[in-house]
Amino acid sequence: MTMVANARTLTIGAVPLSRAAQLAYAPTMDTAPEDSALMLRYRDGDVAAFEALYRRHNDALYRYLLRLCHNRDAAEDIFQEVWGKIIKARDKYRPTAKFTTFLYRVAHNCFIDHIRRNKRHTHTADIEPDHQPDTGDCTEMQVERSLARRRLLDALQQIPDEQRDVFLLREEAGFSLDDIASITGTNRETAKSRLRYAVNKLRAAIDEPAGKS
Amino acid sequence: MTDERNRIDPGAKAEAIVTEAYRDTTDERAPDALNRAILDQAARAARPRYSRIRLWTRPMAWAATVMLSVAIVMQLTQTPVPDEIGFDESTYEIVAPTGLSEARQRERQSKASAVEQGVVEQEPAARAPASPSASADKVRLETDNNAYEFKDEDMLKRADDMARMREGDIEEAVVADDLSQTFAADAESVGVASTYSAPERCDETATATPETWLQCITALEEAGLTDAADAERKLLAAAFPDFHTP
Repeated sequence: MTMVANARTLTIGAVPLSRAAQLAYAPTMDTAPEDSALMLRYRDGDVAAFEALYRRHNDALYRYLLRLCHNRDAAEDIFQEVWGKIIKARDKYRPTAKFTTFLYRVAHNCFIDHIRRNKRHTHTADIEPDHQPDTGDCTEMQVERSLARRRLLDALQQIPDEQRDVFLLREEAGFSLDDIASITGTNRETAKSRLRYAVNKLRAAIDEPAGKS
Repeated sequence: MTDERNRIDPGAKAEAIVTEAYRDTTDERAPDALNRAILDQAARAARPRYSRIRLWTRPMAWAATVMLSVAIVMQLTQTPVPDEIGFDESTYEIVAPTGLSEARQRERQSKASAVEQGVVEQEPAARAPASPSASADKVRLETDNNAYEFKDEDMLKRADDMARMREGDIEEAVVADDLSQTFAADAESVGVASTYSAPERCDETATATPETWLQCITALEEAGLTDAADAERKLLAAAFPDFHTP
């Protein structure tokens, strides 16, 4: 960031570029360009910029949708729909907010639309909760971690959609409560309350076997 | 972010535990097929929609529009008004009356023919004013043909008034010569001659007996045609020498 901030001011003719545009076209040394800068470069036809942007966010967004939907096919459909909207919106894109906020707001809205289209939204999980590769070291600690992981994912499916949405936005994208409130269309206190409920339920689920034993 | 999480009380520690547990589940990745599909879609969307030549059409269209607008505005601003191109009264005198004269000629000719045709349907008393009017038109036509050019409609009206004032002078000559004979012939041709008594002579029915002939002469005198009455009176005396005329 420091290197970019110290870069000489770029201009087109006599008109200096905006900060976002300067970041988009500034020579990248050891600093990765910001998301909004990559999006601006893609708007101008740089496909490589979009690929870098996509690789940066695709897995987290995929997990967010997968655990939000509990259905792999639906998650993939929504995932493709979200990126399609991002691609279509490139001409109108303005770096007024964080790109991740924009991306996850689109994803959240697509998920809401998906629920409305499929009124019979059920929690039928068609995903195998434990895809952890078997390393061959079946120590007691690994078994315990695997069980905790399964219990966590099971508990994640049990909590309400709103709480799960807030928790996943927090864990997958690292959003602040204000950002979560903005994306979900609620206020900060509501987001905070939902997150607290979700964390408490998940913590109880993780600790449950220990309590029993 | 850590500070913020710690503010979520009482679960800051609980959240840390849950977060650590969740980190173990983040090995799920987007399928490669899905990645390829989306990247292909992005590459297709980034292709230029128009060819290089097509990109020039829009600025060229704008330039052409601006050039045409400027040309039209300059043409409008540089066009002289009629006062500046020498459009004076002499031009108007030459052009306008000629057109009026020709138009009025056609109009009057049609009026005259209409009057001539309509005379046979009118009573004698009503027909008398029509003939002078037709003659007046005839006079006006003659004046127009003599290239008497009027400057405007007011002068034309004044000429019409003058022609009407002269109607009294020319009425007898015109009526006595051509028109009355024509009217009489036309009336006879349509079978209404019995209802029409020529003012200058008595017909055969009137001259059948001296009494009817004398009544016709009296009618001529009452109509003011004293010359015709005198001529008929002489003919009556010659035809009936024994008949005593008052």
